[in-house]
Amino acid sequence: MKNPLFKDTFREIKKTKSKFFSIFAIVVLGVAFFAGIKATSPDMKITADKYFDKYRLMDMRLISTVGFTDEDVDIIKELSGAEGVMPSYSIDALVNMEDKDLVLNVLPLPMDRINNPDESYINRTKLVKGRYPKNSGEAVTEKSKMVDMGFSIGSKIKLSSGTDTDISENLKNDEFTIVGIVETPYYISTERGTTNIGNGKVDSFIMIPEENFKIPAYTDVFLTFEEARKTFSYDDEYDNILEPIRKKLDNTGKERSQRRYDEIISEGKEKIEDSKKELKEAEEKSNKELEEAYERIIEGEKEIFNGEKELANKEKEFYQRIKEAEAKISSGKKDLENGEREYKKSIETFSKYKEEAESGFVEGEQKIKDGQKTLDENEAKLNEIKTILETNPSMPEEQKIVLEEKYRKGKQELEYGRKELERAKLELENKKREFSSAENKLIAARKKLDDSKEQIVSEEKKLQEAKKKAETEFAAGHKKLDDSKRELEKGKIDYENGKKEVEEKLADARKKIEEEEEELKNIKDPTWYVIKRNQTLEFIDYGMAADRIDAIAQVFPVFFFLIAALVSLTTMTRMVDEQRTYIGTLKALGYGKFSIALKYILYAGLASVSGSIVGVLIGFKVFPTIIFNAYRIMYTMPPIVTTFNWYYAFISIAFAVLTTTLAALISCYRELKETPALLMRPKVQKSGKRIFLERIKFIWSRLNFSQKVTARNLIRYKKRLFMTVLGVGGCTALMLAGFGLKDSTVDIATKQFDEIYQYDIVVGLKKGVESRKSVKLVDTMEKDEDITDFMLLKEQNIDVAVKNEKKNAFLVVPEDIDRLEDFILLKSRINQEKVPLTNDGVILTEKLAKMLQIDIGDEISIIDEENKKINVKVNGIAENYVSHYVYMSPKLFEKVYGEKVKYKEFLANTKDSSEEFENKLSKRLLKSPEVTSTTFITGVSNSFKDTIGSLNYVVLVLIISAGALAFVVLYNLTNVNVSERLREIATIKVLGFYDNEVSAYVYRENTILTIIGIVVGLFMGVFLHRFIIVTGEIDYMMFARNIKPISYIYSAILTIIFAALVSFAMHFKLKDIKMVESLKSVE
Amino acid sequence: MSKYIELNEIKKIYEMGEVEIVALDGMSFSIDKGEFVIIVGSSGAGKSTVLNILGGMDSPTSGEIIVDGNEISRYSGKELTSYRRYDIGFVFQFYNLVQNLTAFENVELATQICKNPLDAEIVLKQVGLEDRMDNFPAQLSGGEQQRVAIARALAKNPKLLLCDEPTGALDYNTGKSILKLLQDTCREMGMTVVVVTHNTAIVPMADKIIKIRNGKVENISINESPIPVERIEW
Repeated sequence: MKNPLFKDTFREIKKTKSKFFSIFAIVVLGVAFFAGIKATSPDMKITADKYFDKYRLMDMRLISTVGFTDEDVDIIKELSGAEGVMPSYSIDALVNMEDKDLVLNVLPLPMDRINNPDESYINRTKLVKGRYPKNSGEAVTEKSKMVDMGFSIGSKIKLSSGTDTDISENLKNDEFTIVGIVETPYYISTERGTTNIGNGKVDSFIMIPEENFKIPAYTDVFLTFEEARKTFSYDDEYDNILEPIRKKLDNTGKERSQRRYDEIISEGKEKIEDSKKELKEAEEKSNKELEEAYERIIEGEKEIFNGEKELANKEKEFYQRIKEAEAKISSGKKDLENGEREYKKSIETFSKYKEEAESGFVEGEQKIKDGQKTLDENEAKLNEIKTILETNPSMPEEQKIVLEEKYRKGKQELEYGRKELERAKLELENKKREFSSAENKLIAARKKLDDSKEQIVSEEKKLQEAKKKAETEFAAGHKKLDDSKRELEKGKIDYENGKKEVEEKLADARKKIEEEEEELKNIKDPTWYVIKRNQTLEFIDYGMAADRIDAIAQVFPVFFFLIAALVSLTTMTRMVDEQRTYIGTLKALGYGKFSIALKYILYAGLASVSGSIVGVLIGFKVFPTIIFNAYRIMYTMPPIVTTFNWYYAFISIAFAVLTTTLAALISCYRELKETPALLMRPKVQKSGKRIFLERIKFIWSRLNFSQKVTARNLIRYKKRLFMTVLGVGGCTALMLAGFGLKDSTVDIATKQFDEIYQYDIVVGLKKGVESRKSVKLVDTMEKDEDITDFMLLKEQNIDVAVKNEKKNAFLVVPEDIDRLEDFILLKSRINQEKVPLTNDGVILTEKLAKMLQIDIGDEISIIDEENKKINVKVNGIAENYVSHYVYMSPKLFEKVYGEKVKYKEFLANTKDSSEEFENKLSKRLLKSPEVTSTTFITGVSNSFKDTIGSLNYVVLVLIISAGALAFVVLYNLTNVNVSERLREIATIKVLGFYDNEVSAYVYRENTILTIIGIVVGLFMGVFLHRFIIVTGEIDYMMFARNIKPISYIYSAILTIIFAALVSFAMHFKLKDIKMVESLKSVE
Repeated sequence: MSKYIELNEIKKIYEMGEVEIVALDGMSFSIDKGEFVIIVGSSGAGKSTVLNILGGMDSPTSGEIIVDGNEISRYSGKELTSYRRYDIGFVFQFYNLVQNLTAFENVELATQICKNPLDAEIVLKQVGLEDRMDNFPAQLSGGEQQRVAIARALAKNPKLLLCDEPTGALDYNTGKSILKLLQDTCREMGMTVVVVTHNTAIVPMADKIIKIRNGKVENISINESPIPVERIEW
């Protein structure tokens, strides 16, 4: 190899740094985007697979409707040859949070294996914060949901069962303290499934020490397989390993579960028999008790009756006696009155008499006194005479005799007087005695009167007392009777109540028995569900998220890459063209064609190889990381594992290098064909031409000079026009496709869940029913004011086959085809006309019809789960975006299957759609034993919007990338444009064009090219968008086909902004053009 | 006649990395209005550089240039553009016509930005291209193209017509006719014309001959009796 040539090449690179860099940059951008976007989906899956394997996500999960025994587990272990077998429990419980009940899935944590995991520890957890439980009252939970709901480490939660049975039947403990936050591959999405308690939706999970569970049979068995772990879970190989095992277990499951079922049924029947017996006994006992109580009441009634009678008699008697006594008293009173009157008379007489008597006495006594006095005086005289006689013995006898006579006579008289006085005295005394006796008599009468009066008063008093006493006694008696009566009434009520209660209790017991019988009947058919890892919702959901990105990665990056390649090709071609003289010189000097071409190959090669390597390195790291981080809002996953994807690395590098280098080589070859002499001379300038427009004098004459120049320039440089229009248009198209993609995906949710699905709630039934008559729930729903309308529906998983094509879909049979449109609106997407469901054919959803290339009138085969195949005619094709459906009328169903439709769910319309309303409604509905689940369309719609929402980030990445590309492309093209016209620009500068005039001279063309590019790009974008959607659409989904007008505006405006930015940057470049140098060189 | 153009100690030093190239090393001369000046010198003497500086396409590193009383060496970029726009007509060795414009349009390109342009058609007639006005440059011969270039320069009605090797790419006869056109223009329109050439043979046709060498004026001679170009043979 010639040394000077190499030197020249490297100097060239040094000299044209910006050109080299622009090729490099565009290659970096193109390759990074292509490789990065392409690698994102595989990287996401690899990340998941590694995460799953590291934390031993089960390869297979067995669930039984009847539970697993230890024997079952042993059989499973032996049969499957699994590396790890972990029987486990899972129950749903409620936890009250403020005024809301949250539903938690409660899972066991094998405490003995957390720190020393062996192969039997499956679905391991990663401790993110806190610690694992140390005792049975501690639990760990997940971050995203629980923390959002206000729980944190240290929170205490109390679980309740949410059903009639107590949670303590399943768990030893019902209160737990959260001590740690974990992540597990078992739950990566935000969905936690449905349940039949609470509002029907599981909100989150907690893990508690395994010892807490006291459920008699395991609910789950998890299996892992060594071979499966070695394969990639999203590969077919993985499924190939698991599928035979699944089949084997499935078969065993049928037999084992049947046995278990029989056991349960017989146990249940026994239990029911016991209950029945118990009921009978209880019935007898309570009947007897009631009878006794009734007798007691009758007796009481009799007693009261007798008591009343007795009391009445007593009263009568008493009042008679009282009457008599009162009569006696009144006669006594009369007597007394008479006595009194008499007495009064006597007193009057007596007082007269007394007066007389008293004055008599006074007189008498005076008389006596006077008599006495006289006597005394007489006596004294006598005594004087006597004394004189005795003292005067010498006194004459005569005188003596006379004196003696006088004395003797006086004495006689005195004696007499004395006698008389004595008699008067006696008489007075008698009289006094007489008076006194009369007085005494009167006193006695008074006393007698007083006595009888006193007696009457006392008797009266006695009577009053007796009356009072009797009255209180009677009152007491009455009261007692009343009390007894009241008591009796109460007793009667009690009796009635008791009777009712007993009846109710018995009815309850009977109902319970009935329920138990029903439940026994309702015990789901004995089945083992053997679910492979790749059949779990989480796994599929995540896989689909990755697939959606892959879908976008089908066309978008390719187009992106093509634009980038086109621009680097243009740049390279231009460069070779500019080096014409140099090539001629070398050729003249005698260098071989290859040696000369080598410079350009090296130049392009170096730029593209380094660019693509950097691009690949950046792309593989940046795009998957950005996109995955957007997805990590929805999925609890470790950071992405970005891999070096050799396949895409090779493709993108090879393509980038080839396009750029080949472009150089081809232009080089074109030059090399010519003779050195021709090359050394300036290239024959392409002659100016009159353009078509000039012939239309009408228009041409109206254009001013610069407009004419612009018009002619545009036409003259056709290649440049083509390249610029294509480049700018391509970027606009990419942006439009990006925006359109967002429109198409985001719109799905609205269209599917608001327009097509008119219903608000799906109520799942435990058992399939043939008509609404056999559903008790119908009454409840009819009465429920919150439910405005409802209808039975059957939905069944089927395959639709046409020729050799087979697609999975749901067969939907509504109860009433005329009312279907109130719940599901079947219409044509194109003209929005309703598509009626009739009895002679089915309606297919659009995507399904398209995939199977089915038109109205064609026939399809429907294969059900039991491989039964029927043929039906397609009568209509309806707009639908999520999943595939075949709508069939019940009559047609009965005709083709020869059996009645078994509806398993209700679709219903509700009054409101607020969260609170829906929670309340679903709680009400879930109380019915017939209901297994309630699903609200708002919830489905929201979670779907969330899923689709993450796609927004991807689209954003696309738009930003497209914008960046637009910028680079515009810069590059303008750069090429300017360098091609350097001489012309220098000339007009020399002529004295001001800087902005020079810019305007160049920009006028650029602006027109950009506008043409935008218009072309918008058209291309529509097709690109359509193409991306058609090729990239996931099987089960149809993206909306339309782009919103605003997206067109966005794309156009963004392109204009980028063009303006480039123009701004270019203005300085134009300003910098050195006239002297540009004009000196010979072109 | 006053000194219409005056250059004093003009230096132009190009710095190419570490290397300094002295293109003009203190050049001084003056030109009178209406003079036909030929600057002659060998390759690399600094002919084109001084012409470019004179034409406002480049600025001197030091020294002063006064054109019609204005010191253009102190002009800003924008003022230089205006200077080029209104005062200067430039003719290049390789014509530098805009390929996509007809002869007429190329002239128009210049006239549309001037204050007092001459009529494009008249100027083209003047240069003898009345029949080729609607032809594109590629359809014209070298001489014809150079005539278009001269017409474009003249149509601006400049104060100064600067010509950088105008005959360099032309054959003898065509070159001669171009020179004649320039000389006639000078004489008839009273235009100040500066021609840069390495061809010493044509020197006798000028009013003033400035010989330069290594960026310096070697000799300035005034030719009292210029010879019409037709009589010069080389």
